[in-house]
Amino acid sequence: MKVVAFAWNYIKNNKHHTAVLCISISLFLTLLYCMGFILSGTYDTFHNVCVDLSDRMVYISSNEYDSSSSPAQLEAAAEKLRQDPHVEDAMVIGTMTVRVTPAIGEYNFSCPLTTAENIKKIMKHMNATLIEGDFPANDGDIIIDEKLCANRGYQLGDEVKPGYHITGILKSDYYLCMGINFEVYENNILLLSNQKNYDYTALTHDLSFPHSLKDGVTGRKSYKVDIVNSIDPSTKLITFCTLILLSICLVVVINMYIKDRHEEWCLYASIGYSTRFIYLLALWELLLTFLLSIGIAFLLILLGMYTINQLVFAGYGLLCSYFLPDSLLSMLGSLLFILGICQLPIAHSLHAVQTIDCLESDN
Amino acid sequence: MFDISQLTMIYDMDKEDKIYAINSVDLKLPDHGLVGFMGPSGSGKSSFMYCLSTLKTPTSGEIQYNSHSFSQLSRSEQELLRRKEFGFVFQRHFLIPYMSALDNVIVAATDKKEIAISRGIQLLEDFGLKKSDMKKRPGKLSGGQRQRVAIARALINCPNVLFADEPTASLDHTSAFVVMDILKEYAKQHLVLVITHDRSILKDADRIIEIWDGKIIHDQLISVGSKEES
Repeated sequence: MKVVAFAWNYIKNNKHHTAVLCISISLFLTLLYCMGFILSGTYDTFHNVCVDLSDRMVYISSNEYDSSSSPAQLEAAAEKLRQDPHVEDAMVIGTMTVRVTPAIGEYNFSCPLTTAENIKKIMKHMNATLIEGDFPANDGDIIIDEKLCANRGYQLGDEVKPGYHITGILKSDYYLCMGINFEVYENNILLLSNQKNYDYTALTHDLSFPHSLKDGVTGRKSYKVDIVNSIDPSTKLITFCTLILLSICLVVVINMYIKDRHEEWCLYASIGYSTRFIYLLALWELLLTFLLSIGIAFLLILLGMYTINQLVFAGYGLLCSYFLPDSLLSMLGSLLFILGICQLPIAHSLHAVQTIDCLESDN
Repeated sequence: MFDISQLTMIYDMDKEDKIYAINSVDLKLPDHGLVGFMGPSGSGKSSFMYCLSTLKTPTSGEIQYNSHSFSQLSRSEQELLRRKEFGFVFQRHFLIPYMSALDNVIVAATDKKEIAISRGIQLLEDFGLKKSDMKKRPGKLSGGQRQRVAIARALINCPNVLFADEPTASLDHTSAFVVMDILKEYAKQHLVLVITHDRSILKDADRIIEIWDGKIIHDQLISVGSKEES
């Protein structure tokens, strides 16, 4: 297409002008995606703990001071729950609280303290393998996932809770931690679930003691309310403010560039090119600039993600996603917005295009 | 080629003192030849030429080009006419500063790129530009070279009519005569209309028309044993 050739000719011969626009836009796109990537280190980690873990390990917690929930009652309840097809196994356990700290915020969650036999069942259910150290054999022995180790800075032999020491390190898809109980009151029932996002409320409704339930459904609610709803508004605000600032700068810069093109566009009009052609020329110059910017941004994003992963995520056992559809959508939306806002100086300049005779008269 | 009748161009229509840039001009122009337009500043020469080239719309009157009336042409048809049938050489060359000389020539081309490049190179060579000069940007060329590039751009589509508004105004005498030689050569088979203040460059013109206050006061056909005045 002739208009594309014209546009490419301008970009080829005005590298400085194009570079200014390209670098601005590509840095902005890189910022958007890398911000999403950094946040994924938070979202993905929280999602794993709040949702994925809760889908597989459901906690029914009774009040330890409630005398209506005796060990026998809990055991009977666990036996009954074990019969349900949505439950792979059920066991009465104690718990300890462990904290995970992603890039933003921190989250406390429960980990089972039980017998060695139950620990084996949990490991099998969670597809966890011991990669370092020893399997718990004595009271107070803890095994912990390598990601959680890295996040908390633990090593073999470290004390997680008074009396509880790390004897082994696991490899799994979850932030697992479990150990042999010796003094914690066992007022929880752990259900090993084989259902995703299954509401266990109905199943636990007729338990004879007051209890609280933490399953995949409550985990999702908690994730949405505590994590997403608290971080999302800030992210959106940062994106919006940066976009507005960039758009204003781009409009000013493009206006300056277009003013330099005024005589050129008047020449085109005089020698018979239509206003439509001139508009398409300006549009294609913008589109080609955007394409170049996307190419540069792609390389910068790869570099950025690698650097962030090396510096932040890998060393702290955080989960992250490399492919971020939301960020890509955000980038596309931003590009469309910038393209739209850049129509203003173009339209204004097209309106001012005259034929050469008028330019000569003005001179 | 051109049949102009009662052509009038008025500026400041709303004001009491209207300005008649062109005042009821009747004229016929042939298919080929070098026609010079002379007159003082503000006499209406440029307005007349711009009306003929569809760059301006007259207030009244009719212009027929090859029996087609301009008033019946749509805007896109006028643009097409300028693209394919007309060529323009302006007083200032209006070369695009970031394009090479050759690119400036082919910017006006309507043919395919390969054909346009070939013809552009041929034109520039005919006008005395070296291959190394063709790759230079206008800023690196002399005034005479720039004007020759502008003429090459005007001729890239072999237009039937070439409009040249003060084509030698910013040139020295030597370059001016070189440019006029090119135009004279082209005028052998096409119509070339030249506006100028300098009578000396019209020494080879076939016809000289003098315009004063928007009216043709003198129309001199320069050929053996024949003169025509209006």
